[in-house]
Amino acid sequence: MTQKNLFAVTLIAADRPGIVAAVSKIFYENSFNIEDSSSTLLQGFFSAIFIVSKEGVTADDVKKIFSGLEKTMNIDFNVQAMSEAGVKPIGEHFIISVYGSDKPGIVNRVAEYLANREINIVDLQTKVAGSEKSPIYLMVLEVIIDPKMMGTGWEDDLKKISREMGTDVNIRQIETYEF
Amino acid sequence: MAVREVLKYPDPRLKEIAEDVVEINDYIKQVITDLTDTMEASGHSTGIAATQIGENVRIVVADASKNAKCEVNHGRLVLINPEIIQWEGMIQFREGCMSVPDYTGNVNRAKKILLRYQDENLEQKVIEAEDFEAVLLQHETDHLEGTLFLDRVISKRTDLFRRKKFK
Repeated sequence: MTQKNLFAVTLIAADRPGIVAAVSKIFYENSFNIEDSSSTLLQGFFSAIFIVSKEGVTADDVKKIFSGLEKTMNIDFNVQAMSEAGVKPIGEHFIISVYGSDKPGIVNRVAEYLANREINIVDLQTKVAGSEKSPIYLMVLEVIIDPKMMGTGWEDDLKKISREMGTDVNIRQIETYEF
Repeated sequence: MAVREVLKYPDPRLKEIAEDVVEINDYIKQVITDLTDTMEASGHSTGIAATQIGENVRIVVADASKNAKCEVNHGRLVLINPEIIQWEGMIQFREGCMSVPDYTGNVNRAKKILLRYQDENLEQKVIEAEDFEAVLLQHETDHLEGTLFLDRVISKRTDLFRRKKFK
């Protein structure tokens, strides 16, 4: 299969109805394929990443196509050409939830440990919940554990890190079955 | 022996509701054989519904014992006119399907089910299935209703943060 001409189009905008409709209209009318996308609401801002493909255009061309929408809807777009796709990690999927009273460094402690063990984070969400007086920090990660990492004690290490931070941690394997 | 082609979505036949089996004739016997052969030929498959090979009859062949992690199971089952009559608990798996290649999604299923079906002699039976086998049988009986796991996928993000409260 030949490499597709891929672009990452990202936007963050004060949330209101019509953002996806306006953006997808431009993709459709200009013959882009939406290959992959993820969007969510972060602190009231609609945040979206679209991976799109189209042959024979550059990142600057794509940026120009969105200039009209930038003015009319007051949305900032960022366009980036994607030269080549990364290697798809292989292994067992785990969900790690870390939560506790809000304090600095929770994400960093966990992420640094995972990086040092070469554990790949494929999804990360964090939220501050609870009341203003006693905020709770929640972090949910999905990681892929290389087969050679299984049984090397990474789970115990994370539990120890969590104890040191005074947070709670839960680690569970995601079982995937093709029926 | 006939290994049949497994239909892939968007084949419209995957959305059809299958007909009840009222008698065991040569056609029904052939469907059962083909389902068994097709499941075995796919190697990793633990179940298949007649809908998936384009036969619009209520038959499922399943074998949870093909999953080494599934310790408690009923072995190979031929299920004619299967019907789930009781559900209990909830379990989440990330499911994929031979009819929907290259996509997996999180699905909530009952952890334990009571399944009524008829065997190859049309004798009525009831079995209790749990965990993996329960999920497998729910997935396969869904096919007979034209339901794919895509109809039941829950948002990964929503599920992680906002568990439904049962009052």
